[in-house]
Amino acid sequence: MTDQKHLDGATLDMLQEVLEDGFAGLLETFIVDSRQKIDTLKIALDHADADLIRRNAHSLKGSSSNLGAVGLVEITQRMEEQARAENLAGLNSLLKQLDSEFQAVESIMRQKLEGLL
Amino acid sequence: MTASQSTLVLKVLVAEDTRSDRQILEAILRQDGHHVISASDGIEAVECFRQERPDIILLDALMPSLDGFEAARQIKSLAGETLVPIIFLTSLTETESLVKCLEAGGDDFLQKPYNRVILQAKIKAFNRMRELHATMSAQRDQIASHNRYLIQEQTLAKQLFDNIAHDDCLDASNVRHYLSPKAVFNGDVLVAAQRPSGNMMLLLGDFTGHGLPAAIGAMPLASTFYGMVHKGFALTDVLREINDKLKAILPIGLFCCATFLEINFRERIVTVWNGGLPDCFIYRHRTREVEAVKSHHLPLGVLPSTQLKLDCQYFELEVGDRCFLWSDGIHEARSCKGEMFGEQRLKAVFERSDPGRIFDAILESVHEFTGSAEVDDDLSLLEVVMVEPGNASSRSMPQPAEHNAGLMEWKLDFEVKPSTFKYFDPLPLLLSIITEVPGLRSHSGSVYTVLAELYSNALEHGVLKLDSTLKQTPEGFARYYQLRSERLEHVDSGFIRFHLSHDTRENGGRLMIHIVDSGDGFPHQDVLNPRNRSAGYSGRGIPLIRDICESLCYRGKGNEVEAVFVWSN
Repeated sequence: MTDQKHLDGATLDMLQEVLEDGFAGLLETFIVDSRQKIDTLKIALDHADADLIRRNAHSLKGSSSNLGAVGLVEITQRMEEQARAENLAGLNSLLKQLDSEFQAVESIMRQKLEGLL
Repeated sequence: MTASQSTLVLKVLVAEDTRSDRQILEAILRQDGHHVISASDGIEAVECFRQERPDIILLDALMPSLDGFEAARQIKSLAGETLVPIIFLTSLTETESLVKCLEAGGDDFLQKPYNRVILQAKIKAFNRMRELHATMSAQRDQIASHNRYLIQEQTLAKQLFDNIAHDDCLDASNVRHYLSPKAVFNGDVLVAAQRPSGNMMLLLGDFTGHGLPAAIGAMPLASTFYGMVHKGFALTDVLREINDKLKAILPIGLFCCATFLEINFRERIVTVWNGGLPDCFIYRHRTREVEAVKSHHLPLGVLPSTQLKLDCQYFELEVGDRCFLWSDGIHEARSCKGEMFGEQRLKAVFERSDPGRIFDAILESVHEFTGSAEVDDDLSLLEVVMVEPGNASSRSMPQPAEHNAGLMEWKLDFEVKPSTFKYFDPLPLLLSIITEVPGLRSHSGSVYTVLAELYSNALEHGVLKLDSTLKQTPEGFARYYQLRSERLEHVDSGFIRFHLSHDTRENGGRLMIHIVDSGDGFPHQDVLNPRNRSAGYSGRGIPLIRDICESLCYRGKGNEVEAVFVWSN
């Protein structure tokens, strides 16, 4: 399944089992908050604010890992490392990858949410 | 695992700024049955802790407004002695950051992505630690509280004991003693009191054991001692009674080694009974020689009184001679090398010291020997000096409140028969009746002296037919007391009759003491002749009675005596 490269199915299944009725809310929260963090990352990059990039990338990495969004974890990990090293070159390209990866994750999650209805 | 499968319900604070992460943790914890409180930043986390006092905290390291490190510090300080485990939520991987978590008071980490099984295991483990800590703290507090209680009890017990031992004559000018303030809890007890006759009685006891068990026996010992000595009971009666009390009260294996001294200042005789204590010393100041008085008896509280041997040793002393008593604390005091002080060193102190310095010299050399003051707790020492009668007084004996009404005019006839002489001293009984007369109690010492002197003459010369001239040499003196106890053991005939009567007078009264014995009497004209003081019944006693009484006269063949004691307040 191509979904597996974006989202780990086992993790989502576990979350669904634990959260029960709260599962849909969790996905909604993740989508909204992650979008917000990506927007913040764009602004931070415009201002070349390495510390703000590092913290947002770190935070998004953490929440993505909890939802099994393996692609997002990989990209945010690299962004965090570069920001810590204050090496902002190439972050623009990573941010584009992040954007498209997030769109893929969101679309899979939306499908999941529709399936729940 | 669901709540129904686990009885462990904790209040868990989750402080995490990422909403989705927080939701996942809350869900896992709730499913396990825990009560969850949430905070989204450090300030909120500290406030939640203040209000809710959660059991365990899951704390994100990187949070806005107040980060996890500072929040952890504040929470740990608020928690005080209570152990509140803090588990840091982190995807931090750098060693430096992990160290920072621990330094801030973190107890563990939980890595993202959250693993339910690991989280459950950690919560269980930390709850065990929390409970262990709480148990230990509670036990520590309990021990501290028990200790406080024990000290209170000891203070109270000490006060009780001091109340009993309060009216003593340990402060008399001829007595010096050294006892640790906590001696009673080391098992050492020292009591001293005056008989109505003016004789001084002292008892140094050493109970087996330490602490309260050792102190328990001191109470009955002291109360019996003071009660009986003040009433005029003889040494052997007091010993027998104390032995009975201790035998009845103390469990097997607990007993009291004791030395009992009676000092007769008038006749300058010291009576010693030593049951189990180290030899006490009689020190002759003229020759500077020491006579050791060995223990010939078992300690008090071991034998039933029927088997208790009450034979005493008698010593004639001069004014200035001294008696030294001690418990084994001096002999067994140890140097830093573990060597014991021992009797040789003790004797050496007597050889090299002036009579008046011996007491201090003993303490000094023991302290020097041990090289520390720790020994003090186990060291008891007593010195009594033979002095002229009347020079051994201390605070006066407590006077019971006088009653206005009481025995006023009365007459009493009382006869002691042969089988009684050995076992019963009638004087305390008679004295207690006589002192029922209001106002006469304050003269009980004088009345006792008269009664005791006349009774002892009637008994020793009238009934036991002892020759008082024997007492004129030291050998004869010992022989006299030996004969006295032998004959007392086998007396099978004779009597002593008391005829006592009392009339009131203005501000006082008149007590007639008439004593008749079954003996052969004596040429009494000689005794009452002042030029012939040492002849007759007794060398010292009769002139004294003549001083105390308004009149004293012998009747019949000398086996009857009548003394009139007039008193007023």
